[in-house]
Amino acid sequence: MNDSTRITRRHFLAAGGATLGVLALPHAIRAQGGTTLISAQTTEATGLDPSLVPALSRSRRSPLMYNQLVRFEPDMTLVPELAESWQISPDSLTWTFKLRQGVKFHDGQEFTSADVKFSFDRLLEKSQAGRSDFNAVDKVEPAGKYAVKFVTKEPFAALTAALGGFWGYIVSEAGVTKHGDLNKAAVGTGPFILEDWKVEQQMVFKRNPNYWKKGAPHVDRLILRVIPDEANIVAALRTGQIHHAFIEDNKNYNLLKDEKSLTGYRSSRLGYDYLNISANRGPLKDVRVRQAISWAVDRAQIMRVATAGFGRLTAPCTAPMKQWQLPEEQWMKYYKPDVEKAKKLMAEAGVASGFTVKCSVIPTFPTMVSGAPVIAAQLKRIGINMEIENVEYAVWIKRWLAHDFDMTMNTTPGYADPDVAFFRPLHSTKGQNWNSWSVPELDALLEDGRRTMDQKKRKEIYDKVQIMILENVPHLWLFSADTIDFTQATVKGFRQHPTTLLYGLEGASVEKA
Amino acid sequence: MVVVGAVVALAIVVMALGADVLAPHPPDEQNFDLIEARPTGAAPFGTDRFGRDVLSRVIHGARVSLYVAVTSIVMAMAVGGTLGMIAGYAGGAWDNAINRVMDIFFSIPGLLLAVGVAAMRGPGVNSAVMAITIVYTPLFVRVMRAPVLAEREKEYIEAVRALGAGKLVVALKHLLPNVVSPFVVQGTVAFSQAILIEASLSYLGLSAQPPIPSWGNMLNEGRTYLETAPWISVFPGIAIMVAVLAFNLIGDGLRDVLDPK
Amino acid sequence: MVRLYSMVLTLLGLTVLVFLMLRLVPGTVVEQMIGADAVVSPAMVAELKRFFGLDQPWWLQYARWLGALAHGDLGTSWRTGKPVASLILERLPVTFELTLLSVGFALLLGVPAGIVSAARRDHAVDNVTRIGALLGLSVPVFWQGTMLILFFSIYLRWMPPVMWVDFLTDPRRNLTIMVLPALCLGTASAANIARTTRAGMLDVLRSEYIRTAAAKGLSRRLVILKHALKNALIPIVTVAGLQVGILLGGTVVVEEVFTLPGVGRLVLWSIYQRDYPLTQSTILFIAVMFMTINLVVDLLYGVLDPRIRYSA
Repeated sequence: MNDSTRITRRHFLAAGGATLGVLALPHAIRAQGGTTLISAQTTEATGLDPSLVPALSRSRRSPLMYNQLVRFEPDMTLVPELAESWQISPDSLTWTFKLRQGVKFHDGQEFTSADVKFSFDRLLEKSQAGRSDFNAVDKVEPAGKYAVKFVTKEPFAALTAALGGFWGYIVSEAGVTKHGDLNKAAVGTGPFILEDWKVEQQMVFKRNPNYWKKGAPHVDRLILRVIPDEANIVAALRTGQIHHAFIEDNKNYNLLKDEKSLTGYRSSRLGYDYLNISANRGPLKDVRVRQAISWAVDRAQIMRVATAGFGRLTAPCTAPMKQWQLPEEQWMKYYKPDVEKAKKLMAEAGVASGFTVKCSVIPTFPTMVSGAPVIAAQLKRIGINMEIENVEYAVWIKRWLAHDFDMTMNTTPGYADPDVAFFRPLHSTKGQNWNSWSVPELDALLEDGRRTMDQKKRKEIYDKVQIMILENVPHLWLFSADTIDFTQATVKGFRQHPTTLLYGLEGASVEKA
Repeated sequence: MVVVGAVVALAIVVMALGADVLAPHPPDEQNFDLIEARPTGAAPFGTDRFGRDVLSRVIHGARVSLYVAVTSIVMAMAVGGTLGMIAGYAGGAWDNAINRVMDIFFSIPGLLLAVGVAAMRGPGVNSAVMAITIVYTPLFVRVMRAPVLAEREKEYIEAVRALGAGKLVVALKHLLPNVVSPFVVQGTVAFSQAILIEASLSYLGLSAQPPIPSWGNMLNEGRTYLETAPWISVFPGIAIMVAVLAFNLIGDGLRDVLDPK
Repeated sequence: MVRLYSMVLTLLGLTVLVFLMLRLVPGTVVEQMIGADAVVSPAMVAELKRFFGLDQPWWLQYARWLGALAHGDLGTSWRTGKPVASLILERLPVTFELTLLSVGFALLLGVPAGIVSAARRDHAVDNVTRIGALLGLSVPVFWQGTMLILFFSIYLRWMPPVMWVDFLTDPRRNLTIMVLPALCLGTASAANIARTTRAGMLDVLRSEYIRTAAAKGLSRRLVILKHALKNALIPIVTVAGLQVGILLGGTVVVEEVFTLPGVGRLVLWSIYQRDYPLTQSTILFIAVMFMTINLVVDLLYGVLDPRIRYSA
């Protein structure tokens, strides 16, 4: 018997379930030799191909199987991964990455510059979503077997951030050729090799014995279980049936934080929740009305209800984007609720008597469901009657793509670089312009920021961008919920990541109790 | 027992109709000083995560339950009764065609049919009404058709027809009164079941949508607060049970009176 | 034969109905796949629609599905890429086991309760049973489930294992998972069966020949168990048989409450995912199962009561 089984039983004895404890031995652990780590998720991945599937459930799993050229550490500093170093040409148009040598894909083939070119050619050709992270990239060319050149159409300061983002994973050319796409299979250079996948049940990974990071990973087997109801995840953590879980509903932190057998992790998230406003619908066209909404809303109260207080208010750049975030006094002043001011703005806009708007919510997103009624109650104070519309996911996406909404609750995993974070959603012509608005001055700043390579000047530009956002109110940045994970106390070396991606499992080990 | 049932049922109906007056607070009034508060004098059933008064929400929740149950059962009885009468009385091709169509609905277990229809139509109170109507219509067709079939061969009907009464007159004036008892009994039984099915649909997020309170969706919302605030789920659950029980009692009583066997 | 012929006709009607209803649902699998944070061009949406054949007229899509069905091919699920048949087979044992356990529980509780209740008519036992049965009919399955979970996890500090194990791999563990769901699902049926048993027994006990048997000096226990029960068996079997079908439908809620990987949840999931082939074929499959159960009940009824015969 290995150590994990013993933990389980001990937990049960502690819980007074001595006779039943035996029954609760995780079957998977018992059947296999070596150490196994079981992690639970509420949502299944829709597909696994890191260059084709735009869902967060995919991104979250990708670091287990794949590597990037560069990656962000938990403190959001950029470190080399499959690239060892890089240089930018004097005209700022060519980036040359020197690649790590002797790295092997899961199928035993060597990783070379051809795979990098293949990965990005495929991404740029096939994935609209992925391409938008690399819009300024003209072409990717090998420079020898162990170096690769990225040529950009214009200076592109956010390239490394994009490479370390959700679309930067390197796939094997041979693997894609063999499997067609990588939705059901995985051929990467990452720490774990996908062995078996039962959809809506579990993915089983084995340790990659040839992983280029010496010693890692520290467990022989990794199992990702799908347990759709978080109440069951909480119970499974308590009774020792799983080793790790990412907690979606932050109020569950309270239920688990005092359990002695568990280790809790809580840190700031890169992502945030926001209220999206269509700037082309009725009274919402008027910036004063949007400002009134911003002044009427009490973000602290929304955060308290939606995250049980385990979150923070945020500037357009969230806390993990340290170097980009505005000083707190510059944005916090916009967040102090002021109903009188809001009413005055409504009157100036000629809608003193109020109006009715619809706000959509996806019922399966807990922060949307709990946040919206609070906002509705707050907006009532200035005469705005916000009707909450529950819209199923598939329908919501359809409307979202058609820009068909007054207001909608929304949530995003966030972005490391302000260019990726703001250009795509807010640029009125070159971005997706989800708000259906146009602020030419902001467009100009966003284009400037993309082209500026000098860090200090870039920072000044994005400070201005953030202030403009706060004043023109395309969205309401509501709050950034904390990232919460729990592991059994015997799990060591796990690290959270602000993106909520599962980077932290490659360093995790299960200790003997 | 029937009296107890009737009194409780009446109380629930009054509760639903007079919710605005009876409930101490509006159902969506939030109170941030009183979040997830346990039951006390100020809030006898406690409050939920928005500080909303659970008692007031339970009272208002009666509306959705009764509305869905009444509408769907009345519709099912009207449609099913008419079709059953046609099938039984007209017979032949009509009978055959109606039965064929009803067989399709009978080919799927009731609750699954309801859930399926509601899920396909998209969440909402009207989906629940439609789902329950679809589940119960075939049943009422059957309950109407069988006695009509037996009754129409009887002498008195023959006699009325021989006197030159029109088909419609025969059906409504002479057949209906003689076959209506089991139909009504079935109606009350179906009614209590409809309350249960609506609650199930609400619980699965397929009927009334928040912030409109329904007993089922309150239970669903309360599910994640079981440990810290069980009162959010306990009281709506009791409400469902009491309501269903009351209408079951009435059903049992009616059966004894109208349909003695 | 007539019965089989009409079954096929019903199923054919069902295919049309399910197919059309699904096409009326807003949104398709494509939006579901694209995901929330995506930036997707209309061109890509169109390409995906083409891939799933969603750009073709509905009657062509229907004909293709029906054609495949005729060859015994239930199709391939869009969201999982797996054959629908294998997905159903993977989950069928769960639903089956749950149904059987609930029926077993309902019979074990309902029949004895009904007998005792009838034998001790208007005694305390009878009243308790009757009120209990009424409560059992009135309690919502999902609430009972939630309350049981609450009770066990907080007061007894025990939770059934959350990770599913099938019966063949580990019977003991499997049964610990199943015991609460089966209990919840079976409660209403137990109540129904108890009421039917009681009513049936009372009918028989009032009848002439039982009184004769009693007059002949046979012991009351023997009369009740041997003669009365035997004659009350027909309605009990009928009701129990009908319950199997009803419980089969009830599994959809119980599977959802206890997150069991059964067929009911598969249907619901597939509807949400707009996975048309999966929804269509699974519903059809359930209908076949349900109709078969009803047929078997009717046949059994014929065996028990020779007055009724079916030309099946």
